[in-house]
Amino acid sequence: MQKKSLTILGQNDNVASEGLSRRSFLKVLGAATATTAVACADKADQIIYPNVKGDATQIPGLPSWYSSTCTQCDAGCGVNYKTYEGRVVIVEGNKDHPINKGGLCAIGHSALQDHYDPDRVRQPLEKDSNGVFQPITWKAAYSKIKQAIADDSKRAFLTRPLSGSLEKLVGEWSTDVAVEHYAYEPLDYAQLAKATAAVYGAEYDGVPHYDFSKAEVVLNFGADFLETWISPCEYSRDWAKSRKSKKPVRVFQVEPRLSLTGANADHHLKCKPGTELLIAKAVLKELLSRGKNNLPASLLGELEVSLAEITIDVVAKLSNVKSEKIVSAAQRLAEAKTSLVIAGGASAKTNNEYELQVICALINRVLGNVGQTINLDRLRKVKSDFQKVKSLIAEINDNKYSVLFVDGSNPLFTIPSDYKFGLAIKKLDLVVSFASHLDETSKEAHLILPASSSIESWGDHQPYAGVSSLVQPAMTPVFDTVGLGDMLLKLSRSEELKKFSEFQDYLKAQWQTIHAGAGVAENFETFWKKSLERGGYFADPISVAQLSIPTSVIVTAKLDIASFDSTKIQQKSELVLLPYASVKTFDGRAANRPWMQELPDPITKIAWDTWAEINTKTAAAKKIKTGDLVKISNYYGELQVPAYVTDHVDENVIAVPLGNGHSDFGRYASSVGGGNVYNMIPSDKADHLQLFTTHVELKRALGKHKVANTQDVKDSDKQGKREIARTSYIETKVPGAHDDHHDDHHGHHEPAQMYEQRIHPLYQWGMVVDLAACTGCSACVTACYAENNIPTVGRKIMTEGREMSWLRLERYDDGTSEDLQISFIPAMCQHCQNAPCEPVCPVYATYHNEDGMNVMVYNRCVGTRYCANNCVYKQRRFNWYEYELPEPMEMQLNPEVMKRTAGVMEKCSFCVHRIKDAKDHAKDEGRLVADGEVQPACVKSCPTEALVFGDLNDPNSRVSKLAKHDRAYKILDHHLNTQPSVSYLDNLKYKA
Amino acid sequence: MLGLISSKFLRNNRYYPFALLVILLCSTFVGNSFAEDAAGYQSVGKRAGVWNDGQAALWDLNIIDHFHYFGPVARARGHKPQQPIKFSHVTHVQKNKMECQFCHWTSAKSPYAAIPEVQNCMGCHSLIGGTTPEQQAEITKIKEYYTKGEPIPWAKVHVMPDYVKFNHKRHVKAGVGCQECHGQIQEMDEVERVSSMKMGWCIDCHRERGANIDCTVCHH
Repeated sequence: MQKKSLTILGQNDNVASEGLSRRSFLKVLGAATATTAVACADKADQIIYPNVKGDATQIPGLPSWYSSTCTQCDAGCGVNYKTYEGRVVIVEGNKDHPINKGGLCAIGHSALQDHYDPDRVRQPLEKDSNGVFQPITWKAAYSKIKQAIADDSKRAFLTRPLSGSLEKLVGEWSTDVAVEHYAYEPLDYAQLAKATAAVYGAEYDGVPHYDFSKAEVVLNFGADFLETWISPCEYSRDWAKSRKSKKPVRVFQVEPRLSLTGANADHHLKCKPGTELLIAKAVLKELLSRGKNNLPASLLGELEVSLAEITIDVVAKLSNVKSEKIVSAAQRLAEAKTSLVIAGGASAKTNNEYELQVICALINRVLGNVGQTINLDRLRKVKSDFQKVKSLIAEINDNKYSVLFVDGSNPLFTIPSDYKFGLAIKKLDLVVSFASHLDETSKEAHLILPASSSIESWGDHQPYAGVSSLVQPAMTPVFDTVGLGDMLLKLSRSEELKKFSEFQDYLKAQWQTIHAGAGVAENFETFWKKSLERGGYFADPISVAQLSIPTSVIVTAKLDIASFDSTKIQQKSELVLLPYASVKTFDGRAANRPWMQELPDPITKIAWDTWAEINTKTAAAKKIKTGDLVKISNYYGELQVPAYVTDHVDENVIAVPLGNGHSDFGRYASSVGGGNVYNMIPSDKADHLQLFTTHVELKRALGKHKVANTQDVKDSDKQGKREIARTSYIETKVPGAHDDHHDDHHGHHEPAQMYEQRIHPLYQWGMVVDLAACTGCSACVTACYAENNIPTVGRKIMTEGREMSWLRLERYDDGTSEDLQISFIPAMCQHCQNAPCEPVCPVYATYHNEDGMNVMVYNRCVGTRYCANNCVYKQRRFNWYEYELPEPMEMQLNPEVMKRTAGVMEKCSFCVHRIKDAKDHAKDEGRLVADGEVQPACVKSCPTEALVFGDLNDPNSRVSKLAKHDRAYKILDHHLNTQPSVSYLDNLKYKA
Repeated sequence: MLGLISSKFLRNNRYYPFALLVILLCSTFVGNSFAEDAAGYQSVGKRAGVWNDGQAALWDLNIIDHFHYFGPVARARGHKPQQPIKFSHVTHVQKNKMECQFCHWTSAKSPYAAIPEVQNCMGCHSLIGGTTPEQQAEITKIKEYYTKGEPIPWAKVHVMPDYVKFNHKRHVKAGVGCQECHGQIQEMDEVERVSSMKMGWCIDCHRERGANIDCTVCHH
């Protein structure tokens, strides 16, 4: 009747007053009842617009799929776009793609919200004399740039690292119009590439391909390979493949802050900041002493000298990691047939990162991992060169440049302000931005030519040899935008480039070479069409080349602890700021997407905020509690963020996620304040951006901040005796067996029924979640938001506990920081056979259907919320409000699922529309639905295939076999006899 | 007498509820006495084998078809919106013997039986200009839409309520004739809504044919 409609804004605290108050609601109630019967708010007068021109392949109401490549990071995962009537609705992983093989991370799913972002630049803009952007035509914009590139002034083009044909075009265009090209991204892998070249030979200047599925032991110095590091979907998949196998990989994680990857490791070695190198050296020395010394004699001699001072005890003392843990790691590595040692992530980005990478590479060499778990034939080239960018900034400051072209990578946000890029950009005569948003960088531009998103443009991506992945437009541009490649071709001068009228032609010309190199019989057009359909051309990797053996590698002979900048810090502060990349915002590029802001961080469970993780002891000394505002400051800047007090960071570390604190960029990004963490980082002489490099002061600021934390209720972090997410320990028992306490709780108990047991004649849909493979990456949560049109509610409503997610990722923290017991569990409606929600519904709106599902009929629901009160799994969500999406975000809404109105209960439906769709196809072909044919959005999204869905009635289906696995259990079933359709498999971990 | 009642009613508002009741009764009576209305539906086509013209529930009957009295009109049977082009099924189907799926080609392929594309109309009407001046005028309109590249804004006749999914393809494939839901459409110069499209009406046919009546069949 009277609907409260809200626009979602993160920190808009006035939202509640927008609707009617209770009193005025009652006042109008009488009048409203009288009028409703007559003036029923019904959208019955509708108009149908048919297509003007038909296309037999595009049937209205049926989806069309397009293969493409995700461009959210450089990993190069294959994606499929599901389009309805010419608009992209769903992004899913491409199962034929060699990198991700079907899964996709949360940021990959949220690419849609970047594409349909209401804050995108909608047409070319020019800054007028008052500093206000005014729309201009494309023709005018081009002619202005052509004028600017006509003279011989010095010009630069700053982009994010590019790949494939666009990289080639940018190179050619740069020479054509005399522009110098610079590539930059803040979280680069330059040091890793440099160390690889130093240890394995100069021709291997790049990031090797790691195979986690083959490793028995992994020693990891801070690399968040399950989150954002290099190619997380690929690594998660390989890691999970091993975790699900008979001999799971054992992971040692050394880092000063517990990351999501660390929480999934078997052994978390929490070290003092900057002491990873020492531990690596100690491990190397231990390995050398154990006879793992397959190195040239000269190098061994060098190492002997430089490792002389390193002893386990000294290292243990300095790093605060128990010596037996270091020895155990070394011993496990020595004993394992195959292993892998890696370093990376934000905590490795100190001033001794290069040396840490060298030591890790040396350990890999002595262990003989090259060719086993490390493939040098599939190198990822590192194109980001911060040294060059630094010199560019210096030269701009010296007035040597007059024109700067910049793409959408927003360098002004990610280059710390101490490097003075902000001052430099103001000195330029002309700044042309190809950004799609009015972000920090494009605000400084004189001319903005908005580039199309990767969903609207052509392109390709070659992450490593053998993988040529295509990017194709899946829909016409939402706004008046043009692809970057097309723009560059329009702006080119040479006849070479002018002969291509559009970037698609240029791309095809490049693919002629790939076609020639592929050595396939089919002609180019067939090859091109096949590649488009598949998502690219994927060749078998080339065989491993012979390694050249360098005889000398510089390893300093010091007891190296990374040094941290403490310029003008008044009181001597031991605290170090650790800015880290989160799965929510990565380096800042995903900050303006409500799905990503609404996604609770897997470790802290905080949404719509940025925060500072502070150790319990440090916090206690400063009388700081979770939720207090704290001021983190150094000479370069300050942050004011809520504190999150935890045992899982080192006493001297304050960890703050990167990516929030945008001043511009869009409504969602700028609603999350706190300050830009990048700006806290001092400039230095190093050739790479060191993130983990500065001391800070910590003070309690005035006031508290109500943080939107989905697990902040007292003790909801602990499982207690509820046994929700369970872990069995390997080696203490045979894998799969469980200790006596668990025995009676495992899932296969015979139901004791007062009523007749339900039978399901045809299908009984069910799901199995293998917790041993679940990393907690939260891709399923975002996929569910996208698939089911779940509204994002914003910070204010989330603090009231009224978030709408149908699938949440619970994080339980039962151990201590010494004995870590973190468990993740994706929790969705359990579709109980004896569902407690069903009998309490007075209007029969929720019931158990013949396919074994617990079903919601929205038409019937009157919103008593009895079902939500009675649900033991807290899976039901009530629509307190109706949410409006800003134009054009409503274009993303999935037409298969209807938006629910206020006053209606909703919950996970097992993606019933997908089941219906599969049944529909099966019926057309006169058969039953095959196993694996139905994949709900969460199952499809999972990079590790931890979720399996299918028919429990079919004894041969994957799901029914897994449900009978000896690790299988059902949550709370042994207490309540709810008989859920979702089974979980115990997590597996090594105890010692 | 009328003056008396009205004056009394105007003076005394405790009679208002009675007045409302009288109006309701009258409307039911009037509705019931729409003999020609009911006859109209029957002439349009009685659904074979279905009791009482396919009506299942009491509130589905014509006498208290609340959409008919309280709106929205677009949900009531007999709804006959004005279309941008006076397209006649009589001319196309009855006189020229065209197959339904010649134009509505997606009705057996997609959940939606889409309105044919403008290009589809032009397939014939680039050659056929119409015989009478009225026809010629209407066909010119199609040509105008086509040359401008604009879709024809057809008014929707059969509007589904929210949270109901109707899969057109499944019904066509199950052998449900067009006329069973759309009435004798080949005899309609202007398309009108014949079926109530209420849940009782759907369920009735599902029961009759032994089709699934689980809620999720339509509600999801």
